[in-house]
Amino acid sequence: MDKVILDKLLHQVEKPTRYVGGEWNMVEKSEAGTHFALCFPDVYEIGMSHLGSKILYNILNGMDDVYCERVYAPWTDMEKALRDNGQPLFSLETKRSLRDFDIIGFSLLYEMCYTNILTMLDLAGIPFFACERGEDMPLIFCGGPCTVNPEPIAPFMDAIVIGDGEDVDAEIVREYRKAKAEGRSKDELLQRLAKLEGVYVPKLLGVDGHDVITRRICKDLEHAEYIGKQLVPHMGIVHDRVAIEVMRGCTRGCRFCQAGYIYRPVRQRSKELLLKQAKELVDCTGYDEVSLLSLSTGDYSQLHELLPQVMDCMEQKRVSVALPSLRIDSILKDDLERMQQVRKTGLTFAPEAGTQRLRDVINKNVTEEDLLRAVGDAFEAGWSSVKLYFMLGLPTETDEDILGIADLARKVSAVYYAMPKEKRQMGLRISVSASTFVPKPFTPFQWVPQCSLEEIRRKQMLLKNALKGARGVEYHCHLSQLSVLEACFSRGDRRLADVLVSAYGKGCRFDSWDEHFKPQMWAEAFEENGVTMEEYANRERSVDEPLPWDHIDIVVTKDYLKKEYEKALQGTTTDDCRKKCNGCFAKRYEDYCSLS
Amino acid sequence: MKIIAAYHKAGAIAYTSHLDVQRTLQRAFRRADLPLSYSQGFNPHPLVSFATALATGYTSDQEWFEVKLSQEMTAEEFMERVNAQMPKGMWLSDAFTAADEMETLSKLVQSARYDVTVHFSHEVTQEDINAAVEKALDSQEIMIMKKTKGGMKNTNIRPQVMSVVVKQVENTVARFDILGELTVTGGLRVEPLLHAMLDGIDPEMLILVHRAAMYFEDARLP
Repeated sequence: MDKVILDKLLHQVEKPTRYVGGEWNMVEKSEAGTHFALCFPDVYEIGMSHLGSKILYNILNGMDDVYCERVYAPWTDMEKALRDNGQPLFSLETKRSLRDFDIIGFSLLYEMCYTNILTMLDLAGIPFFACERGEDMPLIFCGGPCTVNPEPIAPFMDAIVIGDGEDVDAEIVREYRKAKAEGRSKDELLQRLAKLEGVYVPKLLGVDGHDVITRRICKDLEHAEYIGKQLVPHMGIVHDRVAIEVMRGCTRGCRFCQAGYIYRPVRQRSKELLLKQAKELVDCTGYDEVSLLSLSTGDYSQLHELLPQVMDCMEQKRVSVALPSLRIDSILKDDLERMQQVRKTGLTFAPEAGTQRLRDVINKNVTEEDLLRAVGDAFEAGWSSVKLYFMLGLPTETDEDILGIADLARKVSAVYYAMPKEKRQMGLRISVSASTFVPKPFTPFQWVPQCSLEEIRRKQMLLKNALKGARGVEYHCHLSQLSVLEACFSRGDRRLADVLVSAYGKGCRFDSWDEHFKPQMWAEAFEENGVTMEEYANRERSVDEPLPWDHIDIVVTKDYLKKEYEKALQGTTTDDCRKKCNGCFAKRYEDYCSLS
Repeated sequence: MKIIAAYHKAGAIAYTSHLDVQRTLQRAFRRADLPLSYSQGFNPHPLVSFATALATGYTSDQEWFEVKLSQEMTAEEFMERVNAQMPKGMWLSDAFTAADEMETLSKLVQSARYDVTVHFSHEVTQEDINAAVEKALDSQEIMIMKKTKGGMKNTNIRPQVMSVVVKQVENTVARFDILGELTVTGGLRVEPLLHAMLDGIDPEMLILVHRAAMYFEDARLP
């Protein structure tokens, strides 16, 4: 792209750094036979924080003769500048037009970024629907957790990756290159892709045995490719620190949590490897914070050996260690004190429900005792600010459960004030946050109707009143149609693709951003396409009815989910499968999991 | 001890804000494994301070800053180690050691020279440009809107303009050499000055500002 034109565009937008690239460790290849555009359909600050993209960037650029560049969704001011100046969307590394890539891969992390996919295709002059794209168009596929139910965006994709992308993305690139070298047509390429494990080709569903697509699982995380040299941005991003993936998968089986089911089985990395990665990444980035990531890092089997070693090493380098996603029942008292010394990072606990009865229903097996002990330890270690996450609208929820939230918050406050004044850190802040429950596919609650917005509003008021006067407690609640849309798209079918296109046409963008969310436009889009939000979000489904995602096999069986749903309604809990195997995989996949 | 050095900012990294430049330098220093000195308190940070901030979007050949080190190091070694870790578009030149007691750069800076390129959306003539510049310089007042704590304020920036020379005008591009005041309390706002002088010719023009040099009252600095 012409330098003057680029400067002109950059002068018209806020945060021009979003589009210029040049980050430390950015990959530059002067020549490559295959150009891959790794696309994240949200703005730079969000996309650059995504762990999966970092891994794929490294793996794909590690391939000979393949150059992987990044493209993020342009903010609304850049979208306008591009259109006003007749310019196409471009990559960060070389400013190459998105249209000129051979392969385009989207990472789909949450449903409400879907309109941004359309923005990016539109600004590249690429037709939205796969069936409208000819031989000269790039191969377009996607991956990420949303793909466990890919139907709402299936019509836009040539192929969809279900599961871990480490190995299969490279396989797709290899098949592409092979087909190109052999002069094969796109259809022939798609037939070959449909044979790869974990790859769903929407066009070929039901053709030639392409009936069920099994999730791809990267079994050996210890030897899998990781981040390589992490990119260091020149502007603040959401997660601006070294990312260390401790393990993948979770054994707790909380019934509302999709991640707990779609990333099974648990696969850990050794503590030696993690320490090595932490050192290497800190040295090659200059970052002053390291985060140990997983769905439940407190469950890492070697945490008590790993943590002191990492903290010792990092302390010398003046690097702080962050441990997000800690369960309340993780025993971390001594570690807490050390963490507090290096840098104050916030502490968040997620009891999710206000009473033991409801926690048992959702299988979030933490007790009131666990919570009070955890906050007690935290206050004693010097923290005065804690966040408590809850959900409203959980199945079988009653008002008593909601009042239970207020009760818990007050008890946490009491723990603080029970401490002698000299011992406690000033300025107690208990931040209570209650989001709206969204039932997700491949969880035991996938048949559950979402609570109506009016009902959620009533519950929020109930909680707000119950919290009045609680010392040190702040209540954050957010009521938005966004959760209804999330419920629609996560359990949607292909009809929603048309709704998406209509909504996009009406100017819907960056829907997960408050300032841009246009509920009225969405309502119109649904109406114009003859579907309602209620039928997707609020309808109770029978456990025997066919679901739009039945052709995806995530390895955890439907039978297991049904059993868990029944247990939920009885209020019966299921133990952590490290204690005893609960048989969530069919016999067929028993050997996938070292615990079975 | 402290080291005083100047960094260059060119190309795409010009769009990095000053705050982000501070972070970028910090990370480069950490990668270079420099023996940095840290502040006290809860959130210790390396002791780096700048003569002045560079506006986002401007390039520069002389952004002076100072950094306190906890161990002795020669200026040459400092430059070599840091330059090996600098991102594309940023590099150090002119480093020298200084005593801790020396006054901070921000107190010593006096003025700066700018090399400004303007791309117009239509052809312009030397006469028109010269006339517009002369008109602005002849008057006692060049008013711009400045954002202050109390809101937008009409401010006269004429006193801060030391000189404006029209270096070249060709087709749609004009180049200027501008000398302006630069002190710890603020300095000549170059882009607004250009708008004030030339909006009558083309309010849609693209203004690219390059800080060519910074001048200090202390004889030890250029």
